[in-house]
Amino acid sequence: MNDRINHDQDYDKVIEMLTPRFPRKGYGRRRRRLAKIWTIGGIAAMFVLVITVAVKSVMPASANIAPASEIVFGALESAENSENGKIDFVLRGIETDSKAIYDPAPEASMVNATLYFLNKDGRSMSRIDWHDAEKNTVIFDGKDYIHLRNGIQVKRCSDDTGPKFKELFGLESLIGSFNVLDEEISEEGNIITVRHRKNSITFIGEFSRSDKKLRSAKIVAESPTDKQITIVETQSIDFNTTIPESMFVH
Amino acid sequence: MGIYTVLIGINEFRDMAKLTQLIFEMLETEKPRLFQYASYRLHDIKDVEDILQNLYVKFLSDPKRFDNVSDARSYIYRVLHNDCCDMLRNLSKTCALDIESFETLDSESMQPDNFEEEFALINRLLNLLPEEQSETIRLRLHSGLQYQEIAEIMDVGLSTAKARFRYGIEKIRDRLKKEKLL
Repeated sequence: MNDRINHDQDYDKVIEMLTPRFPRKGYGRRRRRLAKIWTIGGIAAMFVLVITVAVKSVMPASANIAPASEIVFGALESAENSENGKIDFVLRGIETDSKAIYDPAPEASMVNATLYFLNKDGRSMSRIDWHDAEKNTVIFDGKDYIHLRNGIQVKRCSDDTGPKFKELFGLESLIGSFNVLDEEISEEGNIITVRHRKNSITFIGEFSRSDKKLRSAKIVAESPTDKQITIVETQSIDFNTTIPESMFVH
Repeated sequence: MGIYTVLIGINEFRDMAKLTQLIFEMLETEKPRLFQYASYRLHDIKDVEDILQNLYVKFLSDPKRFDNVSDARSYIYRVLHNDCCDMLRNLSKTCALDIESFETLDSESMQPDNFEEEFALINRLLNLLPEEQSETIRLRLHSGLQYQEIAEIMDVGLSTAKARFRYGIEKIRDRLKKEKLL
């Protein structure tokens, strides 16, 4: 009987011995980061996807990196390394109850907006100012989601799965396994344009050869009459501007 | 092409973004265990980071992989398990994993004080076992999977998964007792 008990105890001791107690350090030390998908509505997800799709389509299949790919790599690297940024964009969207306030819709009018992001002391903060009549603003301060209308808070709730813009642009690793259906890379002068088409939607990324920067990103839908409808388009992308932390405080 | 095609396209796009977000959150929740499992499987931190990176890429870039999957967690581990096997196969063509032999174990190394010592001990013990037993133990103790999940990942029956775990632990126990280390 005692033998049996000892046997069982030893069995448990071996299990304990084989169960790690000390965590391994080092995960995430390397520069390559994972793409963090933004949770405030579909707007940022659009930027993620449009850039992802644009970039993935020019990733080299072999070690021989094509010149256009180098530009794109450089552009993404500078975007990834930026601690803050400002993106002016237009969205063809309708007002909904989503966290982003507006959702894309092909029949809607264009709405102007500005997206700001700031990474500081491990916190990722972001804000969209919708330049609409109600002056809607959404803020993610790293802890809470806040909706302002005309500067007055109309909603505030905890949201700990917020945007990590710095990681958002670490997308070069997403290349390769994506299912590319139809793509096109063209160069004209200083501009490298990458187009990726999926069903009636085309993702377009423009990169500047001279300064190796992402110039613009947009999504275009094809209408029943073969008309091209821009769904979302960046007007300006600036990763070098100063964004005060006070913009994310309310 | 009608307006519906455009709408479907946009809806698909938005659904894909939402699905991608869900998958990302699931991967983030599992990350510590995925990392632990891959660490003990592959050893080299660079290989571990590469394989996890590729795992994220694989899932996030093609979220429709999960369309016909009943147990997403098992599926993630199955893919990781297969990727690790592939990587080990490729590595074995160039170099063998550097594991100290069981014979070098002494009473001091049985009491690890940090990750490196514990890592060495666990690998030496698991190295005593056939691959199917050590892998079952890793999936159970390093990934925290249920036997049913392990059975699905390894394509065996539930009783086989349980038996492999038990035989593996018993074999290590018996060897440690024989060496008077237990």
